[in-house]
Amino acid sequence: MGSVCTEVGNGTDRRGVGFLVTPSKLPPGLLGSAALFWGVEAGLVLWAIPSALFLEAPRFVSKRWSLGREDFNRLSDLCAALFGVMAVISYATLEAPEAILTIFRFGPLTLLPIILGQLFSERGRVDVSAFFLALRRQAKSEGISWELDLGYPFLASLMLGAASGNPTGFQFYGGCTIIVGIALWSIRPRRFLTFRWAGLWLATALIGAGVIETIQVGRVVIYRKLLDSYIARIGPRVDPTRAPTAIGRVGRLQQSDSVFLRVRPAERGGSVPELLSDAAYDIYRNREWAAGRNDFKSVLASEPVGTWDIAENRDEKAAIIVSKSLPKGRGLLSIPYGTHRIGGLPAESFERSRFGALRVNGGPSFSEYRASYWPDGFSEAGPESGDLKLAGEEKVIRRIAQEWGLTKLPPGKAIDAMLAHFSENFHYSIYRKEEAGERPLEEFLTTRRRGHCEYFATTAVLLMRAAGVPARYATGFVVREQDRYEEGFVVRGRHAHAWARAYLNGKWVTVDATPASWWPIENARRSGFRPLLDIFDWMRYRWSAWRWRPVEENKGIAWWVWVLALVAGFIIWRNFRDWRPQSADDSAVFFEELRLGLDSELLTLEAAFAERGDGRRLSESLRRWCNRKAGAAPSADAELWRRIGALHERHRFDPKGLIESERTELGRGAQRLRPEKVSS
Amino acid sequence: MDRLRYNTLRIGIAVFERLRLRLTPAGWLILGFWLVAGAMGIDPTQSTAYQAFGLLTGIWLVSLCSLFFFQPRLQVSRRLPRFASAGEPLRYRWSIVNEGPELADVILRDSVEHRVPSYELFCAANGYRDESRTFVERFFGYGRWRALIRRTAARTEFAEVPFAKTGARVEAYGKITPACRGRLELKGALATRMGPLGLMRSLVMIPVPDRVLVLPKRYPVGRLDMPGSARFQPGGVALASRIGESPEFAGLREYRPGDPLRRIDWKSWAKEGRPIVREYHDEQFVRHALVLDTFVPAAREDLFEEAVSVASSFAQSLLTQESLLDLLFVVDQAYCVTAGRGLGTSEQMLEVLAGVQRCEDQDIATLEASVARRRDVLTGCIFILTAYDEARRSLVASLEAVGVPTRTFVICEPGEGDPAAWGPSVRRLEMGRIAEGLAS
Repeated sequence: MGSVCTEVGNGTDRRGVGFLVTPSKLPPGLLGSAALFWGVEAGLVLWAIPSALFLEAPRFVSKRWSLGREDFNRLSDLCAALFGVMAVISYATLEAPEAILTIFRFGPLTLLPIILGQLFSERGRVDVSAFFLALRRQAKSEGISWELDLGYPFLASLMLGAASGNPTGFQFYGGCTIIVGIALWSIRPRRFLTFRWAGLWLATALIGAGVIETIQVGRVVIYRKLLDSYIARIGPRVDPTRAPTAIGRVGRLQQSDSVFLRVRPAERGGSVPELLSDAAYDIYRNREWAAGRNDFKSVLASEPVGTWDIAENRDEKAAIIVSKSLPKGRGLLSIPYGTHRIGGLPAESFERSRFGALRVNGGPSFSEYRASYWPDGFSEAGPESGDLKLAGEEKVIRRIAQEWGLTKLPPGKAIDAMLAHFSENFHYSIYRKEEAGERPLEEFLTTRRRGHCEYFATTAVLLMRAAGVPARYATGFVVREQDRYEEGFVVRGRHAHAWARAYLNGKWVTVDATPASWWPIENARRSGFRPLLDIFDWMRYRWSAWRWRPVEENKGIAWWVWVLALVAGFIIWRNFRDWRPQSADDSAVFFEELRLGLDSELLTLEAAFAERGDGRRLSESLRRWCNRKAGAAPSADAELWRRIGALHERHRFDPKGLIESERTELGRGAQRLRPEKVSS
Repeated sequence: MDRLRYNTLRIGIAVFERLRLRLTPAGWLILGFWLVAGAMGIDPTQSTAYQAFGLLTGIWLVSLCSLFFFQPRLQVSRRLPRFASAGEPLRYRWSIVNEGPELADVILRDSVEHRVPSYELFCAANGYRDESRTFVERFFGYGRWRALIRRTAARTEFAEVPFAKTGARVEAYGKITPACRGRLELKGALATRMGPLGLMRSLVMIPVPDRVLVLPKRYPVGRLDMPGSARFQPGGVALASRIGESPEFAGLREYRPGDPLRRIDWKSWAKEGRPIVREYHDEQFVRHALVLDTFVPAAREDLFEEAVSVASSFAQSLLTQESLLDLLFVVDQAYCVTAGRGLGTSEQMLEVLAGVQRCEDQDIATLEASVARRRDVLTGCIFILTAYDEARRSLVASLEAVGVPTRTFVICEPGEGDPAAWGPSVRRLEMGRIAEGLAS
């Protein structure tokens, strides 16, 4: 593609005269074909057909316009305005990955004005300065230009646009291989004969196919690792079937400081429960909790839209508003115990497990739902035999439960005794230096006596089971930190917590065995940048809340679209109101005059003086005439006379010509010295 | 922070330069396409961009492999002129012998020793020379770096090698534009050939070390009419190859050891039978001094370079006249180089100026003493100064006080100083408008 960029030296060909070039060095029909391919792949055939016709028209139409740097600047601004509008609309209406893909999908349309400008221009190239304000300034002051054939970058944008579609199979690969192959063939070194080159390209295409297969295989492995890492980072709340713990893990437990949830009471002055539950599990095995039988059951939607009644015929006693991101519109909701109704969450389906976890599918990526609850109510199924199993830790747990005297006490007293024991003899810690042995729970209970909430919650569940109390392991968040920007609370990643649920006196109660010191220890790890980052979190939250606001508030969406359209329209109008591109035929004489410098305003000025009998003498050059006028002019104008004389001489005879600022100076100077001015 | 900026620029630009040698414009475009497709295709369930990424990866793999198959095998020599001038293109010829298979699509370029600005210079340039076009360039110091590089780098241009069969000798024309004076070290010839896909170039470095002396940049100067008359030169100019209007014949006398042979009067020797020499009264020459101010801080090396250019312009112009010219400057000590009237040529004077450096450990008193020693024989004096402070003012005044006419040129930034207070014999030459200043 040696012909993609042509460097034009300083000062040469600045006046837009000279060569008439082919619209682009690309082989005939390639841009049009690529545009059609883009239309088919991206589902924009109706846009693609006229685009292809326009792109190929210069091959059949001889008409050209004489577009200079200023004209291309206008076209570039137009493209930027179109692109900006498209990007804003995409981001305002779609999720992040889809929005990005949409930008690529429509990208070629926004570039169309400038590529058509190139194709229909006499110049056949676009100055790179059209795309950068800083370069525009430099080009204006120094006259430097670096010209580019936009055909090839536009072809790349068409291919990226086509790639944004998601049809199955290798149709895209085949089309892309042919189009890119033809483009590269057209710029190959001429020593390579076509058939040998085609063989090499075929080999390239096969290697490319091999790479794709490798990507497909590698992706599965990498994604699995990434998923594990993601789960480890954000905690065990994403999967209602299993919850890996950090029990026995060496090093410091890292938790995110970002805001995960925002919680506020639904009514002003209302309260917010301290714990929000995500999920519960009943089987402990290999340092991991799992839900033996989740039994997710659909919850029927009720009125108005987005309302889900979990328990019927209950009056609302308390309610909170929870703001939470739901990647891809699905996930578990964080809810207080006793939740009987969820409102403001339109979704395709809504399910509830027997442990009380609520799962949503096909909802918005960000939701701000209302959870109505009874503070002393419950929504979990009663205990089963699994809620008393000790699994692989049975011997140890039974021994320790006996040592602590839990087995001989009634359930309530046993729980109190266990909590007292934890409170008096154990400490909260998020750091583990040494390798854990085979039995990290035994080590925790007997020798180490320090650990994080997962140690406490797990051992509490198992000890209660050993004492004959049905118990489960629950995960969720603690809501304690006040939001500094709005009414309510913020919940961060490190506020994630684990606790036990015990079945006592016919209902499930929360038993939190973790020492109270865990909260200040966690908060002491706050980053110094956190207040600043919180502002960004809050802005992101406000943006998401606006984007995903309820449908009934969404009816007024048009106003900002209209404002945006008006602003863009104004920019376009301001740029193009006085745009009169010259036909290349009409401008030939004009450019010849430009080339010879006969457009100099000094000639007009001299003619005006000549009419008054004060023009230059025979054999007197314009420079000498200016100097003579300078001698006779008032001192304020003398220097100006000399200056415009010198500038005119350079404009006419210096091969490098004048830079734009000097050219302007010549024009303004001549204007200032016109006879009316002198006579007045 | 400056250290971080400096290292980032040094490493980043070195990597970029290597890539620029390897990649064709199409290669850059495909590189961008590849990166964007890779980012888009991270999730293959969302788009087919991963397929484009796969194809482009295949293209890169083939391009990389092909680098090893298309390296040209050449023997190269170049015919260089003796001198080049800063800012002016130096054109020369390459002589190439093809030692491989048929040679086509090969491009040759000179490999010049890169002059990377030192960290101290980079720091010192802060606030003086900054060609930043945007805030980002200013923040990262790229504007400073570019300004420094622009002042020192030599721009080499590709020369297309004509088609050659095995063993054939062909010629190509090279071009280098050195930006600054001094010695230009040429490391070798860089032969490049585009790969089959037109994205990357195979490179071969053929060591052909050479060097060229780059003379300072010169500006056109008009005839400088210096007032003053010819002065007596005690002892004459012993090595002057010709004598102009100055000597006056006084008489004949016997030869004494040490007398120049060209003063022997052969006819008288033949008549008397012993060597007789002609005796002259004295010698009257027009003798100008060109005083170059070398006392410039490191940060203002640009001022110094312009001063050397202006001095070179005068040296070249004045030496076309029938006069002697003393170039006075101080580096580690005071130097005086005399040329004119057969003593030396303007080229030799420019060679000296090509190598002159800033003075770092002397002060202006050394220069003043050097000028004072010669004031009795000088017809006039031209000062090329980089400032017009009290010390320099006194230097000029000391010469004017003894009746030696002076012309002073002060290189300064636009708007610097008060020219009205400097007097009529002092002319400002503004940075960036030196040529205009000298022409007006």
